[in-house]
Order: sequence, then structure tokens, then C-alpha cells
Amino acid sequence: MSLIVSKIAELPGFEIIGIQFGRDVEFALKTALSGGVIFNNAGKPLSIFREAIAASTRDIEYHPKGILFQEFLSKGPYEDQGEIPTELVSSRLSDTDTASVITFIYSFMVNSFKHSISEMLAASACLRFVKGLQKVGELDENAQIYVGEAVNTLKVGRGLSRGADLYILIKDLKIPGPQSITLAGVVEVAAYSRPLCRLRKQFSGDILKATRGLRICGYEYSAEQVNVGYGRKHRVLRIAIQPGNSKLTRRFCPKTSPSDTTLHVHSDKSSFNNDIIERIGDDEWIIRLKWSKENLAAAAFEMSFWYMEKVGEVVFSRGMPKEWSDMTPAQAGRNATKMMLYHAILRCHTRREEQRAIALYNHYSFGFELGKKPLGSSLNNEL
Amino acid sequence: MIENWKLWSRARDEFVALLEDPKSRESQWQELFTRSPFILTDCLMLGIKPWQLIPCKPGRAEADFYFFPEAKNPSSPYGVIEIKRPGTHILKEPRKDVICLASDTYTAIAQAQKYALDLKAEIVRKLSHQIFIGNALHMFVISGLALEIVQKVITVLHRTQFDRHIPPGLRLVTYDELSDLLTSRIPPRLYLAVPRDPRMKSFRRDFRSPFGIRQLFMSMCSICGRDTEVPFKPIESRPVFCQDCYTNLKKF
Repeated sequence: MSLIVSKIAELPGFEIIGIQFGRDVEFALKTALSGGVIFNNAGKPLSIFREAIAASTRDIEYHPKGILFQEFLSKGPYEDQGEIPTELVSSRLSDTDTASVITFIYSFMVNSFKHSISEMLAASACLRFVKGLQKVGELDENAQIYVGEAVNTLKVGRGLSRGADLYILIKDLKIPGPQSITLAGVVEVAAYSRPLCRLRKQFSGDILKATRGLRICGYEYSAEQVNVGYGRKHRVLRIAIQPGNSKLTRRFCPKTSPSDTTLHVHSDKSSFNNDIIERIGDDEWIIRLKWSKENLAAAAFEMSFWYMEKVGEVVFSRGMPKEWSDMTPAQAGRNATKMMLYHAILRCHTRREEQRAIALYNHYSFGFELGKKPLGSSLNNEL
Repeated sequence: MIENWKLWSRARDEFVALLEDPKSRESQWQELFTRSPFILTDCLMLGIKPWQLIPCKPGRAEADFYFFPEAKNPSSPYGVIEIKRPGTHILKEPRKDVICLASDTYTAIAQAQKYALDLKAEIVRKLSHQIFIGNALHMFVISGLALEIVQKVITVLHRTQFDRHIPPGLRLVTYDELSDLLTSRIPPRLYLAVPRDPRMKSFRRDFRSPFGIRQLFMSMCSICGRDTEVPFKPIESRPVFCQDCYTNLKKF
């Protein structure tokens, strides 16, 4: 099995996450860039977007189960009940492997993309918040936001590690080069709501890491050059950015043309929501994005489907079933994903696995995670 | 999101029935939203639980609904909702292609602003140690608007110009919009992976976009031999099952 990252000749544009949401992300990135937010090695919204996708793809690729996922597409689970016949054992994935692939797609792959999108959206929300604080004089005017890989923390020995998702740093602009820098805030971005105690633990960890030194856009600041906290009280802002709780519309609109009838999902109306800022402690804040968990999940599923297309290109370029001869390798990849998930549902041994497989199959086949019935729910939402 | 489909459907039916009644009164609307507060909390995405929306008595100099943070969570959104009858005109056209807000709308806006300020003062008094930051204050005016006027506003003045007439922090929601939102909140009654609705079988969906069209492929059930459709192109070596056989197989 080969690696996919090197095979991706052309990274996608914003359209893969849906037209409306793609525009939102692009606008958020534009706002962030024009407001002076610093991203790593990227100066345009599209390049930031592509960089984020490439980073997520790399994470997926080098995950131990990344190769198993390729096997899932080429071999797939056994398609019937009972034990796998001995002659098929080598050409089918075992039930345990099938379950771990489902978990890998549902948890790791989708979450990896979800986190990338959240980070992109968080930059503009954080910028608005920082500008607000600067306006009321609570934060130095030179404070700047650094996103993702733009800032790394130095390890005690050698090497770098990833600290907070976003940093708010105050640099003395009058002195060129890495003299000293002030850590004014750490920002954690989550694609789901986290308990407060976990957030606080994470913030403490981020600040502790920063005290060991930072590498900011190529410049290294040793532990002595990093001042933790600003103002007389040495404040460090701790900001958590989380998605909102609103739901996506799920209305279907059938459209009939002379030749065919198609089913469209009703396009979502612009949300009434704005980012909601909550203060949870003296210097602790939660920003709830106007984009909901469902928005992020839908976009992440689309990105994961795009990734499967790329995996399919690699897997099926070596040959594909004769029934699929009219398909391109990319189409075969998408088709195989749906087919293997269809069979995977039959091989699930626990309710949780089955729910995940159904959610994935529905999403990739019909566009929505329909009918993800909560465990233990008596609600009958069948047709 | 209230997950009960029946509850949502009943609320929508009541909403539509009341909307079709030209003589519907404000108090009737208030009763409806009191009975089904999730219409407002979910459709307007208030970020609160339905029981946190508090109705006021009709006829008193108070907002129709208000919501405010509890002591435990002083940073959740707060605001007021003022309801007008669907028949209330919120726009007027004094000259050709010149559209401005009607006097009733100005009154409603002024009312909402006053009630919101009262509420804010009340909250600040109760929770003086808390600092409110951001855009947590919501004011909603729900009022009637004939659809054709909305369209005219969009084409002539554009929505942004129309919104400029509305003070910041206040949302003007028309019954048309609310009705659309309410319909869109009702989840489709689909559960199983294979489409069960016979109407869906005629829909053809593309590979590419989930929001576009995706193709379904005709196939024969490997167990009972009935025709069935799946969203992928099957291959000979792997079976395809109809809805009933698929469900039975899953029961192992």
C-alpha cells in the first residue's frame, strides 16, 4: 500500500465543504488576515485552507490505521452473516479490523478535518474578541494572534512540540528580531464542548509549555525571553472556542425536470446567530461560534469523502472490478467507500459500531447523517 | 432541538392554522408560543432551553417573552421577544420604489428596545459582579409581512439596505421566515440506511456533491430476488439486499 499525501497533485478549493459554508470559511479567513492574524507560511485564504487540509491528510496518513483504511477500500468486510469462510479470510477484513476502521473514520479522520475547520473559523472570532478588549483598553494594542503551526513550543531537550491552538502574543515592534515576547493569552479550539475542568487543565499545560520557550515564525525565543502575562497583574487570557449548538435544516426539496426527478437538501438559511462570548472566570472566556457542531461535522464529512476519493485514486489505479470499468479511479474510491460501509453495517457487533457505520453510510450516500438514533432512545423516526 | 417529531408536527400545524386565520390575535400567538416555546428557542437559535423562555401576561407593559441568564450561568444570552399580529404591516411604500418602515414597526422596535433595556437594568442589578461582553443581548420583533413586499425589498433596496433600518442588536423576524424555519427544523422521518420512502426511489443523485444529486443503482436482492436500489454500483462478488432482508440480516 502506498502513501497518499505525495499523490495529491491538486488540493481542493473551498467548494468541497459546500458553497455557503465554503464562503463563510473564506470570509472568516479573509477577515482574520486583514486583521493581522498570523498564519504559518500562508498569506491567502485558499493557501491557508489547503495547508490545513494537507496537515490533516498527513496526520491521517501517518496514523497506524491509515493503511488499514486503504485495505478497507480494496478488500472490505465479509458481506454476509456468520463466520468468514476460510478461503475468503485473506481477501476480507476481519470484523475487528472493520470495527477499528469504522472507528478510525468516524473518530479520527472526521475529527481531524473538523479541528482544521474549527481552527480556521476560530481565528476571526478570536480576532473580534481581541479587538474588543483592545478597544476597552484591557489588552495592549500590539497584541497579535498566531494560529497553529506559526507558534511551536520548545521542548526541554531538543525539538518542538505543539502547544495551544492559537496564541495571543505581544511583541515590542520597536526592537527588531527576537528580543523578548509577552504571552498574553492562549486559545484552545474544540470541535465539541469540553468540561471546564479539562479546559483549565489544558490552559495550564499550554502556559507551562510556553514558559520553556517558543519558536515563532522561525525565530526562537528561549525561556528567558518569554514573559508570561501582561500588565501589572501578569494576566494571561485563557480562551476556549467551541462551536454553537444550532441544528442544520434537514428539509428535502424534490425538483422535477422533464428528464428526471432529483432530491435536494434545502439550503440552509443564514443563521441568526452571532458568536456568543461568555466569561467563565477572571481571565477565562468561552467563545461559541455562530457555526454549529453540525455545520462543522457536515464540512468534515465532505472533506473526508474528498480524501477517500484520493485514496481511491491510488488503490484503484492498480486495477478495479470489471463492473466498475466505466468509472474513474476516484469514482471507484467513492463507490467502494459506500459499498464497504453498506457491508460493514452487517458485521458490527455492538450498537455503537453499528450506529457509527450507519451514520457514515448515510452521510456519504445521501448527504446527511440521518437517523442517528440516540442510544436507548424510544423515538421512532423511521418513515 | 426537540427530538419529538410529533410535537414538532403538531406545533407546525397549529402555527400554519393560526397563520391562515386573518383574524388571529396577538394573544393567540402568545399562547401558541407559550405552549410550544421550542418554536422560538430552536428556530431563532437562542441557545437556551425552551423552559427558559418566560411568557408575560398579555396586555401588560412588558415584552411578550423574555429570557435571561440564571445565577449559575450569568453569561448565557438574554433578551426580549415582542410579537405582533401577522396582519401588521411593517413596511410602507410612500413613493414608487421607495420603501421604509411603517409606523407600527417603529412602535414595535421602540417597545422591544425599552423592554430590553429594562431587562438589562434588572439583570445588572441582580448580577452586578458579572461583566457582560459581546453580543449576548437579543431583541426580536416578530411581525407580519406580505411575501411580495419582502421580495420587493430584496430586489429594490437589497436586504442589507433593509437591515440598515433596523437598530443594531434587534432582529426583525417575519412570520414567513419563522414558518420556513419551523418547517426546516422538523427532521425527516428517515432512519434506515437504505431509503424506505418509495418516492425516494425515483430520485437520482450524483456522486459529487451531497447537496446536489446522487445516483441510486438498481439491483436485485440476493436473498429474495426483489428489485432494490442502493447508492453504489454493486459488483457481482458482493450481494445486495432489499430493505427487509437487510434488516433481518442485521439481527444476527
